[in-house]
Amino acid sequence: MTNPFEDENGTYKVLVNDENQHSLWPAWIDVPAGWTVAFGEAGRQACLAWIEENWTDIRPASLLAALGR
Amino acid sequence: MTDTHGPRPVDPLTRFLGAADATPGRTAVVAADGRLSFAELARRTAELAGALRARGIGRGDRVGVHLRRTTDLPVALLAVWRAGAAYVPLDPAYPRERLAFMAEDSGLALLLTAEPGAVPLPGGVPALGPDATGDLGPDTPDTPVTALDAAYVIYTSGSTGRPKGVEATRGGVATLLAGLEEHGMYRSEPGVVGWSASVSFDASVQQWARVCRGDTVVVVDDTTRTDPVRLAALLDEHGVTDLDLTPSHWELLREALAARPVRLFMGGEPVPRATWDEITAGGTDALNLYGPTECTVDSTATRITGPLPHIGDALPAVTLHLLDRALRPVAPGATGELYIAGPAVTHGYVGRPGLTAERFVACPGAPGTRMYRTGDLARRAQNGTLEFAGRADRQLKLRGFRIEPGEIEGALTRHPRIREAAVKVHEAAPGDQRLIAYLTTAGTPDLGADDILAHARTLLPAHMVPATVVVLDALPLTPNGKLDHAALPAPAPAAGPRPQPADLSGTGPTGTGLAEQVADVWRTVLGRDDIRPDDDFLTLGGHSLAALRVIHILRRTLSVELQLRHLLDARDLADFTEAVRTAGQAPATRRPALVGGAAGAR
Repeated sequence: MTNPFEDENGTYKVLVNDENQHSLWPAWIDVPAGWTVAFGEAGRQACLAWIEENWTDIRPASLLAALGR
Repeated sequence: MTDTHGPRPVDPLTRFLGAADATPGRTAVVAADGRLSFAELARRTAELAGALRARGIGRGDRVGVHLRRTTDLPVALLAVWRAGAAYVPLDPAYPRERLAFMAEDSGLALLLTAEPGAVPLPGGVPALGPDATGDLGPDTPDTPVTALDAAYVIYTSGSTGRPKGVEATRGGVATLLAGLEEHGMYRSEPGVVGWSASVSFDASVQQWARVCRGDTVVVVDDTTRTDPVRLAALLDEHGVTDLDLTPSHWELLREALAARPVRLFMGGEPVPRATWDEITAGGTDALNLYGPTECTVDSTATRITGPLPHIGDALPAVTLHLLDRALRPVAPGATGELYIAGPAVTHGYVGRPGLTAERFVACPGAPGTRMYRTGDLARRAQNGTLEFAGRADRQLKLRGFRIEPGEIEGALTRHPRIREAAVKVHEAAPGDQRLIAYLTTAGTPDLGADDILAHARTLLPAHMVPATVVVLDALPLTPNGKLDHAALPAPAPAAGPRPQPADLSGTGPTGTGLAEQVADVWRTVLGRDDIRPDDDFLTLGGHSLAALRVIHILRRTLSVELQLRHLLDARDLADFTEAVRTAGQAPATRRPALVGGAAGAR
């Protein structure tokens, strides 16, 4: 059983929610409610590279705001 | 994140302060160096929290805790929380280089240690002793936090050769404690909890954090943890009611445990059918707990009883999804990959956004929330319980330790003369699983197994160091050019012809029956015939459970008062034989009743 997130040759999107949490997402599966497409469609490695570049702190946005960061 | 599960559980630190108010005189912590009442623990944690605050530590900071298993350890963990920060456990038993990596990777703001210099620190990171005290301020030393504030960062094995730090939240710990309570996993009266896991493993959280609900925590040191005689003595001395262990440990400890009124919290690896049946038949009070570090220790729990092993059902507030490759729920009874959602899902991997985004993914079940992709396969039985059905990837569980072979391979290939490495598990004897490393090397002379293992020990904690090294001319490949794991040869029981020592009887006080008897036990336990007096137990593939078997057998057959350290401290077989001889000559001491009564215990 291949996991849909593990297909090196697949096409993906990068999703973002209100907490600025990012999720890799298979392009062929419907985007769940509460998430918007921030990048893609693109290859898996391109999506991961975009996430590395643009999501610099994995903590939720509301926490980072409370910490003043 | 939306919390759809009713009232938020109470923060663990708030609960601790409540317990300290309610039962100040009750014992909170027992360790080798003494005991602390709840009032004393509250006072010491407040003082250390004050010292941390005076150094600018607060919310959003990460504080390394590098302390041995004394009362200082729980004091430090709670003090970090009281200062509003998250702790990063740095077990002193880990290799220096790995500690340095974790200190750097987690971005420590400060290190709590009694041994300054033991952990190489990035420039500007201060170290502080665990007995530091500070001004508490007029009101309270406790920094208020939210459920989303970090509680700890615990490192797990990483498949790409680098450990990854999982950042768990205070709300996650609160959810864990409340979930196990509501699920009926704790007795109603306050417990006495054995804290056996290394602070660097997340199982330790469900042990030490019990102090927050008013339970007494008894710190179990490493030698006691795997020694049936010492463990039984400790359980009796302190009246321990709750103890964590892995199914592998059950094999060795069951005689000590089955006859005692201890509730067993089993986790870390699937419970084998035979163990499940044995516990069910014997009426032993035991629980099976399942959960990845990424979801704050436990996600499911169940009592071990009934016909077939299973992992039970979700703890309250945990949502489980069994999904197919289109992320649709699988049909009832079908095998799917397990995804976990709810407030105990952690923030992700510190400093690893890409890796976080591919494992913590959008959850179709509740808008805007995430679920963790476990890589575990499971199916739901007709009665609703979940059965574990293996892994979807290469991750291993070995004696309860979670291991990514890729991380070991990455460490091995950091050696300048190791070209390629492949790691897999080999079952040397039923129930005796070992890590085997297959390598190709460069240059001459050939690299010795000792050199390779010494290299591995500088980078990897003991549970990740391979037991055996096999050097090949080339790694076997599939027609697609990928590594063919199935074609890796099983290591020969006797690893090739080895030169025989010129005179076996000349090495120390051998040539007697004792030397041969001890060597025989090694042969049996290690499953190999070519044992020599200058052999080192660990190098031959011995691990802590194997060591315990050796001690157990020799205690029985020779009636000597032997301890695990006799074997672990011994240079080689000859040295160990000498230790056995000395122990046999020691004046008879009172032996715990356990050994004599063990045979009829079950």
